[in-house]
Amino acid sequence: MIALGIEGTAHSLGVGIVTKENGKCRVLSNVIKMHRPAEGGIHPREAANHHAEQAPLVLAEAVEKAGISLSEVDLVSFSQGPGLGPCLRTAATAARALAVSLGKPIIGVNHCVAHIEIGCGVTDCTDPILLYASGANTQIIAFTNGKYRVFGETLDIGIGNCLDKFARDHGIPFPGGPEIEKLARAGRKYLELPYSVKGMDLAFSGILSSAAQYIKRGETVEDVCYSIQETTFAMLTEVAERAMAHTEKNEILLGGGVACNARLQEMVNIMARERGAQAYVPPKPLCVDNGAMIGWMGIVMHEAGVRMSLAETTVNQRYRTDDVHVTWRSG
Amino acid sequence: MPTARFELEFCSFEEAKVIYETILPEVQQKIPRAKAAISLQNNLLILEISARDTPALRAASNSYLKWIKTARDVERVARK
Repeated sequence: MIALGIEGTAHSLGVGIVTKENGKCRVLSNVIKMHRPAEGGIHPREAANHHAEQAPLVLAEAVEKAGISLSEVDLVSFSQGPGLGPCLRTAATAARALAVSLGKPIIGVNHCVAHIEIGCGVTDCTDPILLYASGANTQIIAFTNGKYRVFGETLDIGIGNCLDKFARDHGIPFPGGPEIEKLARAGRKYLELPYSVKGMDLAFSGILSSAAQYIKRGETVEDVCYSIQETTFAMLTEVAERAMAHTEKNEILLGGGVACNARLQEMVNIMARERGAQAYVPPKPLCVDNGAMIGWMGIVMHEAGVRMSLAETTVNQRYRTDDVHVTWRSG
Repeated sequence: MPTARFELEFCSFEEAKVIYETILPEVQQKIPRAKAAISLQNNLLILEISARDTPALRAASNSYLKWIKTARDVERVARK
């Protein structure tokens, strides 16, 4: 089966074409176009306009790179939520138009769950804790009792949003995460920031305010970036470790754009090693928002017998990870 | 209550039908302060929008027309 996945929850429009080989995901193509605003943050309408303009181009490029014809696609899947409404509806419209044109089935998938399944699809992990760290989402997820349960999550903004906002306020280009990572490497002095772990949940907005105060007081951007990373990543790693202990799982998977950060990977690797567990990180194009993970999620759900009518393909901006009925796993 | 009616002519009934089936779920999903309906007459797609005020009418019109264009663009890639 060949599946074509369309991702469009936020600033990125992605089209990925995947197939299943020996039980694993084989990515035939994975084209991503990111909306980069000239200034400020992501405006949902502007991002949706970007996706509308890019949809036919990215689709054609993905098909060409996959070396197939569209008639060979067996299934169309798309990110049904959670995400920005106008962006989701544009991606859903493109997916619906493609499925109807080709006369192929269509499946709407949960974006967060797709991050888990692509990790399992391309690495050796089978039943991990997912540390999902992206711009909008920060969750620690694991499969128990028929669903992917959220064991901990942000109480305010996503970790990536925290990094992007700090970057934006201090003249660092978007996306801020990779730039902060570079600056942090030159940081030498750790500045204390609010370590906001509340039970199993996290909060980042206080860190943002406190970091801005340090800049005002004349601390270097490098030291502040270093301190933000050390603090927020330690928080994420701590909660992930506690979820591992609670669920007695010995695999941890990273997903989301912030998972590409080498320092976060290092911290998680150290934690996993000390627990006798294994850490897994998918390749960068599969960590960020991408169409390949949506395509793979479509295959997983279709094989489990999930089918959708066109009427069921409306988007759900607040599609919770634990709303998904996981019929393709047991336990 | 301000209203707008768009009559969009496509190259063929088949093309218009793809667009109609694609957009129908979006029309059935509520959007703030506006209501929409679509119908199909041969290769003519008719979009009707009513809204609480003119800004809402403009916003809804922009959204649906953008989605119709996206559907048409994707349909054309699929048809190649």
